[in-house]
Amino acid sequence: MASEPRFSPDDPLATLVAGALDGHGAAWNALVARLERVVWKSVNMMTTDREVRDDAFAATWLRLAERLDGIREPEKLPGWLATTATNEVRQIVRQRHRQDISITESRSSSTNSIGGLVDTLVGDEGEHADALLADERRRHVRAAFARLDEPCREIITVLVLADPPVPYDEARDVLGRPIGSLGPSRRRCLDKMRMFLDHTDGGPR
Amino acid sequence: MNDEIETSDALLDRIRDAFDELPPVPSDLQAAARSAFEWRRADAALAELMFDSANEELIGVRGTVSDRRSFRFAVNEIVIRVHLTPATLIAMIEPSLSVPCRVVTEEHTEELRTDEYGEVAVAAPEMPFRFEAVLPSGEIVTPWITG
Repeated sequence: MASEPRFSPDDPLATLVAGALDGHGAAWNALVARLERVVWKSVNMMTTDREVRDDAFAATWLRLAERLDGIREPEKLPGWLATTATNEVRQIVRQRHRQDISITESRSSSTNSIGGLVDTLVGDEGEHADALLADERRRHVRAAFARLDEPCREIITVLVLADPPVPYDEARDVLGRPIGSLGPSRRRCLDKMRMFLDHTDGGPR
Repeated sequence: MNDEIETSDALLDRIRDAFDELPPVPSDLQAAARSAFEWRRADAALAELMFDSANEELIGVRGTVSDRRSFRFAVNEIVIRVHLTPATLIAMIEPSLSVPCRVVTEEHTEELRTDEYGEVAVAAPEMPFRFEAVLPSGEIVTPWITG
């Protein structure tokens, strides 16, 4: 009798996807272990609202399970997951915002606050002076990033997390933007980021 | 002003680094990610989203608030329309057929049947949910409606 195949997060992504398509839960679990950080970073870069973040994280994996048969190039899964996660955040934010308005419930959500995410990050207590300074620099970058508009956060999140990078023609599908505008958008968003880095208070460069 | 001119790649690296020290993924979310696999329906055709009213309403109309949502899904010649209000979900299958169907959430599955017009109405489910129909040609499922 053949034993259940073993899978490790270090296996090639193609092996893990094929294993999951064959119905092996172990292959799926290895995929999750391998790629959970990509999804986690995406949702954290996109929102500081914990509820939205958590729901978008879970929804992204439902989406992958649903679309697994359609994954043609498993090695590009990091980019696919990053873009899917940003889409889920946008969708959930839009829908909840709408509901909030329609039931005139003013939640004291920290969706746009710079502090929200930063407060949840480890290392803020800073055990060492060097670490403190490095933390402070990162905090400064995160604060500037949080000031970007949603489309810019989305584009930069995908650019940062997609490994290998998402080619422009494929980014179009997931970001829902014409191919031609992505290059200029990228430039515009990075220019904004530079401006916010220069003008966000309290952080060394 | 900057003394240095930071290249785009260097700036992206800096942003990447700034988010590198996130706390670990919480265990309940890891569990949710693993259990997503159990919701896979490899035996059913996945209908494609053709229309979502949320996307339409966004275009150019600020402050448009609607608590209704409409979706249209299709697979081959079969169309599933889903209309959502805060209280009710109405699903319609074309061509009109009375068939078994389900509204599936992570918590439970509600077994239903469309009427002779291909319609079924049920209390609005929690998100995420999906609609499944058992047609003579096989089962079809909508993608998860997550937000």
